[in-house]
Amino acid sequence: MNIFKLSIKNIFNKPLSSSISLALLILGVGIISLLLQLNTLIKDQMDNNLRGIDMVVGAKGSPLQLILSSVYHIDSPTGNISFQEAENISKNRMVGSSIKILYGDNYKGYRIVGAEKKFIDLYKGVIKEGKDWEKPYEVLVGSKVYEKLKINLGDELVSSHGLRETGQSHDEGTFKVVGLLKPSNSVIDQLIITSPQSVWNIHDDHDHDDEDEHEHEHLHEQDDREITAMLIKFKSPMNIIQFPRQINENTNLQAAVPSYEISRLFKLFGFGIETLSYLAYLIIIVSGFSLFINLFNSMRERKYEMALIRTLGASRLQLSTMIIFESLALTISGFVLGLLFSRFGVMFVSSLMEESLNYNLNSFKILNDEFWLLGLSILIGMVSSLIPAIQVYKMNISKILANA
Amino acid sequence: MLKTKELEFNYENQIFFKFQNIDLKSNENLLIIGDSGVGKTTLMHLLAGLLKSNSGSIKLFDKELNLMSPSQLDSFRKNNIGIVFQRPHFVNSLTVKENLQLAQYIANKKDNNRIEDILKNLNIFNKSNKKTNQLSQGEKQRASIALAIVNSPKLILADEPTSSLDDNNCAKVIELLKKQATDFGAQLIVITHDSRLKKHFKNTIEL
Repeated sequence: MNIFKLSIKNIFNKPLSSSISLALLILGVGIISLLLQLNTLIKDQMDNNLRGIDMVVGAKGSPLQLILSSVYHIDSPTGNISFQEAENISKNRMVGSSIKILYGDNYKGYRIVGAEKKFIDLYKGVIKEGKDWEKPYEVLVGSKVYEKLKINLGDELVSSHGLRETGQSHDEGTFKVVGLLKPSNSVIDQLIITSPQSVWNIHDDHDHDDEDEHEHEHLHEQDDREITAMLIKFKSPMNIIQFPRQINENTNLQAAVPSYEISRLFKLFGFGIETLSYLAYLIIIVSGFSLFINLFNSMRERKYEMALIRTLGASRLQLSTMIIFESLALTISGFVLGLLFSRFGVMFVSSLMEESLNYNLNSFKILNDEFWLLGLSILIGMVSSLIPAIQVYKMNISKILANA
Repeated sequence: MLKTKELEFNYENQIFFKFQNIDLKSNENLLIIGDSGVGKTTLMHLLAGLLKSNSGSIKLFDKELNLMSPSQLDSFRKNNIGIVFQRPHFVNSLTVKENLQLAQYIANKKDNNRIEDILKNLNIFNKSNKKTNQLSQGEKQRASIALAIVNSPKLILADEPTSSLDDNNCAKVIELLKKQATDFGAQLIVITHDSRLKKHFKNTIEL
């Protein structure tokens, strides 16, 4: 038996009032930690996929939509642009490198992207099994796609038109899996990637059934091809100010800067996150009050007990320590359980995101801000036990025993 | 062993007590008897070092209590004095055995054999693992005696141990206290208004 054990026994002796304070604290800490985790995970995921893309050129529309569709592959594209126009821009002296990508089809909800091979290098994609595509209709498959859909080398994938699973299927659009990519923790994990030619081929046939037009088509093939967007890296970061404006003003294309759009998005998010975290801090403060009231009441109930412990020879300090221990044991376990709660929350949100966006977020590492939460929990424990501890310290045992 | 001289105490609300001198030799028990309001509890608290007198001296085991600091008194108390209260008090979150272990812990001792011996001697060994609020009144009283003697005090102070008991139980409890004191080598001072106890003591002081 010792003072610490006694504190724990005291907590378990009053399970109801202890658990109310505990539940409030778990809720408060849990919500804040969940927000921190999600914010960090989403930001990391977003930044991670932003690498090396200074600007995106696509069809006119919402710049955010353009970024979400062609950098993060979670929204519909704004439309298509002409291959020739994109080619002209890529030859501009301010452009360091450019990658053309085009959409058209999906396989069971996973997007099939036609892209230049540089696209895979951009995300540091490495082939785990098989080889690069050589001919049209050969595809590389991202790690989440083949894990989820149990795709193996040599499988044939029949694509559907559009980006949603429900699109009509092409009889001609049969792709052959020639390579599987290693997990790269970036967007290519959830993509099926092929040569631009494959996508052009399918949609040429699809869009122009008419034989006459088909003839006509072949004469102008070079002019008529379209792409969905072009990802651009500048030669110098300075160009980011001037070049997008030039494109937006002088051409019928749209240029969007991912870092602007994403910070705009986070500002919108941020407002909600901030409001929610104020609420959570409020809950933590309420839990502090409830803890204080608990301790204060139990001090009154237990005053004979305290007096007894003092007459047994315990010092004032030992008794005050016991009170503070009781409070800290509750707040620290509240913190630990709160973190646990938030990790389950992350897992839950991640499974929701995976279903709707094919994104997943998983991390069990402890963020720096969560150490602050630990500090806050300890502080709450100390502050709410301060007055009861002082009371116990100043307790007049003789008076209490005389009134027994 | 115990010597008090011109002991005086007054509370802030002007209640004033002047106690007669006490001189108790080693190996003797003492009954202090007096009506309500003559300062029995005050005297007991003075002897236990829970209160400090305004003037006079208390010499207990050759130590002057009035010269000790509060923390010295705490440690003197845990090494020398066991207290049996009028109403038994326990730490309610603990079992009988754990209460005794806590008392030992406070006095920096650890001796489960002694706890066993005491509980057997008081006939409540089968209640060791019961919470104290599950005990009957008589068991509580015996458990509180166990708590007072677990650290082998040289002096047991008992405050009105028999006031709420019938004649039969009164005799039983006082004999039990005396037996425990003898068995474990302690002296016993009982403070009470219960005149039934007079016949059990050779030394009596009337306040």
